[in-house]
Amino acid sequence: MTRKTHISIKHISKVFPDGTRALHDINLDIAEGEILVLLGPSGCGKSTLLRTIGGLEQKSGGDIYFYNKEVSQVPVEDRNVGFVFQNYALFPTMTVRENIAFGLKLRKMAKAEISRKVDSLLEMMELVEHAEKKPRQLSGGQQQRVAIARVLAIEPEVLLLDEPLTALDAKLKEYLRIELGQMLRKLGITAIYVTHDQLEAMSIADRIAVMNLGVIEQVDTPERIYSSPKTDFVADFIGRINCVKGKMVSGADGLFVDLGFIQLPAPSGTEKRAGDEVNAYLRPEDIELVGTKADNSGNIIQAIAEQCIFMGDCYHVVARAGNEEIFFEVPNGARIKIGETVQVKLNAEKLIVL
Amino acid sequence: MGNSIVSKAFKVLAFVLILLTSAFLIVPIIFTVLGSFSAYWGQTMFSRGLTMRWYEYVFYYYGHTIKITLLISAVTVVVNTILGSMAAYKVCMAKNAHSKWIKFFEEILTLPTAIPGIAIGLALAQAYAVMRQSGILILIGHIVFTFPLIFRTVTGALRSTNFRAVDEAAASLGAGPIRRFFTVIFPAIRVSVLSGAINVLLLSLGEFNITFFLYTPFLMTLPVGMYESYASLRIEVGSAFTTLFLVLAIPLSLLLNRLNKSKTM
Ligand SMILES: Nc1ncnc2c1ncn2[C@@H]1O[C@H](COP(=O)(O)OP(=O)(O)OP(=O)(O)O)[C@@H](O)[C@H]1O
Ligand SMILES: [Mg+2]
Repeated sequence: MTRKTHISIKHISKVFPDGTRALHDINLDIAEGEILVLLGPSGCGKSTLLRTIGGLEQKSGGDIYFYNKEVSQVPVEDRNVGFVFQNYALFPTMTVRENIAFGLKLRKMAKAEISRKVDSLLEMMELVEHAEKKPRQLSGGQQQRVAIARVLAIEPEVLLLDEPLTALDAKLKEYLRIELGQMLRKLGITAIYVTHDQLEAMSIADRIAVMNLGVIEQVDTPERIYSSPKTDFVADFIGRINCVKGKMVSGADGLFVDLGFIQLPAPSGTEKRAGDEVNAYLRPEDIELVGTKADNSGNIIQAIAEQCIFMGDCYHVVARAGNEEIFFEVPNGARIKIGETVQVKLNAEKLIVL
Repeated sequence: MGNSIVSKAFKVLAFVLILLTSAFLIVPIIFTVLGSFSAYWGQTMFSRGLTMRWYEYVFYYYGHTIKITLLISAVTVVVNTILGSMAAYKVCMAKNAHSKWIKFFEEILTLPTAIPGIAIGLALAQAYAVMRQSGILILIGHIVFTFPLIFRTVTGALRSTNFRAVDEAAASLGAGPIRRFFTVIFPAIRVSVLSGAINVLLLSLGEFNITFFLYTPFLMTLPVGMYESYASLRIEVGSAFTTLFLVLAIPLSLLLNRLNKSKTM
């Protein structure tokens, strides 16, 4: 299914008045109804990009299109975007009901219609019994639900969420993450969601844009971000991964990656050529303990266990292979002694070479 | 043990402070108030009995100064409450709240408290001598002198919580700056604005230094009149004048106290 492009960001850059370059030449297309997650470490420019799209910050260069309309001169009041902030930003002197009705009153909607709409949002957000309370009488999770109801009320063209769940405790966060994901899908609203939490990003996103130092490193589905990172930063930032320096060599039946302790067939479609120095990545789940009995299916190495840490559901093993350290997980049953030589199989199909 | 010595020391200190305050603040005030009802304040206060004539005297000769003071203070409060809170809102919500310009603006705004009132009064009188007769200079002096007070009270309130995010939320829901200020921000800081306004009122009611260089015989404020009555008339008149001023000021300062308490709770 190809969807119409809703938001198109072309060469956006942002330099703050104090000289901080927060965004460099950002290009990004977001489809109608898509949930795009901006993911990256603290200070990489996620919030700045979100705020620039929404009109809370002025871009320094480039263009932002909503459908085919350039909007960067449209003030935030008229951009019809809904912001949800990490700290909720509810109106402290208004009740829950008044908070939710705020945007509707501005739109000169009839009283009866406002109260009908607010009622249905209260119901949807499970806030009915809190309708007449002030924000400070609510828990964090309830406040965030009010904030969400408040922006949904105005039926914004785009929903912009800046770490909406970060201030909540782990349990509630997980619960609301699932709720929020389902709700956004059901509404079919175009949404940009900022987080630095990978799990949150993976579970909620249609696509993830991984940002670092003011640039977008890669935009892809969560699965592809995880399985085929395009840059060292993405490989390293997303999930846990083994990184070994290697060299491309040509062998009898094609291109190989020489890791020092083993040569693995190069991933198909790699642009690397024989002689290139590379970083080879392999996720711990693609390394499998095969015991000490002989196995001839290939890509098997011997490694000396150096650490074996109990993680609850598994053991986290660090082992030395040649001059490199690799780590992987073994099931609870398989006890490994430190100093023991173990035999592991590398899943060469999952090898990533950058 | 050490603790009990310290706490004893504090108690003694507190007692001494109360004594000093009473001796140098409350006692003189009581004397002044009593003196204002004395027919003749000589060796003893009421040797010739009680009278209200000093009040009649004050109202007769200085009634206009009370009216002028009330008018000037009222205008000052209204103007500064509006300007001061708006300016504070602008400064606190500015996209670039730490820019050189805003820092500079804030510094300029706080200058009037640093410069002695006499200097402001003299400077205004010299620079705008032509405007003096109209009395507008007195008003300007009061406005300039009291502005920093409300500005700082309101900026303090705006910075104490994350009003910027609240303001941005209101903006993204479609509210323009004026509506945001009046429907979202102001209701949340109204106690601070009110206490700033009362501060301004008190300062303006009692303002002497600036006004002394700007008044004309027809445009005299209460404190200037009070000074004149002490300087050139009987002490009982001055006392009556002072008492009238206290009747105005003390309820306001009690109210201010109460507001400040409710704010911290
Ligand atoms: N108003 C501002 N003035 C100057 N620099 C700013 C301003 N806002 C943000 N920055 C800088 O811009 C960069 C990007 O900030 P931004 O808030 O977008 O990061 P972020 O990715 O949202 O980080 P976090 O995950 O911590 O929220 C940072 O270096 C930050 O210090
Ligand atoms: Mg941020």
